[in-house]
Amino acid sequence: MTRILCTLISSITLAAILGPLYGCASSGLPSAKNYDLVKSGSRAIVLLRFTCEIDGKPHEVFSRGPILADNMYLALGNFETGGSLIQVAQAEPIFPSPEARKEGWIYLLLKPGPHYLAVRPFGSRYLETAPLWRFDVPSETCIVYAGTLHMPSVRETHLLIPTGFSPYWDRVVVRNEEDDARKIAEKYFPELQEVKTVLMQSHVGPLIIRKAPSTSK
Amino acid sequence: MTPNLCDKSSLLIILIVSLLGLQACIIPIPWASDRFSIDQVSTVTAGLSNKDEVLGKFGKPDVIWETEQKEDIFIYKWERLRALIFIAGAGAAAGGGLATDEALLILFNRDNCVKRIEKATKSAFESYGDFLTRWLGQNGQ
Repeated sequence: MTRILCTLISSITLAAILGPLYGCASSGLPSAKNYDLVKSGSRAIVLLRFTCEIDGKPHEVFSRGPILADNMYLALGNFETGGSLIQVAQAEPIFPSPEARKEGWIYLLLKPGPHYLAVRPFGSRYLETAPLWRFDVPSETCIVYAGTLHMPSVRETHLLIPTGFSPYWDRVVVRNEEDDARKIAEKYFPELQEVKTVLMQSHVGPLIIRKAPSTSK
Repeated sequence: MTPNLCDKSSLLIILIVSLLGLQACIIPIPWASDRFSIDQVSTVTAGLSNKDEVLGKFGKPDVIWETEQKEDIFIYKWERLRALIFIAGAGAAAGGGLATDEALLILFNRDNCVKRIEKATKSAFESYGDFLTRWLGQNGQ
């Protein structure tokens, strides 16, 4: 009995440690090293917001707990990935704070050049067929706001248990909330200069990639 | 374009399997086909063919790389299964495939004429960006 209990406790402990590392993105500000990369112009902080409504009511996009996977996975394609969509690394924080996460704000550290974003709601399998949005990170810019992806959605359930949401892709729009983006930037990245707005756009066809200038290591 | 059965990833798997005291079996699949055959690729000639011909023969590329020299590179990508691997031991067994990332890369000059066309294999130990940079760096680009 004791042995079973020990096994159970160690399994739960292991799941608690590995769960967040495996499936969930975390909150936090960039490290000093990453700040230096931004200040040197080789990376930019790209601010994005994701909002969702179900039956006309707001629904928190990143609402899952620390052990379960997030409601939505993000994938990026760019020069480094050869255009392939690769899930955003979970090792680095993407939410400036838990409050920002509740509101759907994320930040990514990206090299200058074109990037392609795909979102895959929890439970949907095929990232390859997901719609794409393209945004361009200009050179020598510290903070870029690429827009707010607003997703009218339907609630998904499995055996009557809510499992997430599924967007109506033809009704998904990119909104410009640059005033709010500026407030987020001032609050979480006060050392950095003004926010440049470059809204993402829906993309179809071959992905066009460009290598970042040689200063962008 | 060398077969990758003896590359570092295969050797690493064999080493891990040996260290764990497991038994492994690797079955090479030399007959696995490419997205484009050598015959198809040879219908496009550097210095003679142009972008329209390439689009007609191979279709739209998966990715277009716009280089700093304002020359486009069409990238057609696929995965090629090189071998099947089976590992057994401790009352359990597992299997999987060893695949490599392949690409047909076509560099055009500013007049949209084919400057270079090659099939290339990405190493498992480099990023796609490094692979593309390495490919363009060859031949004095």
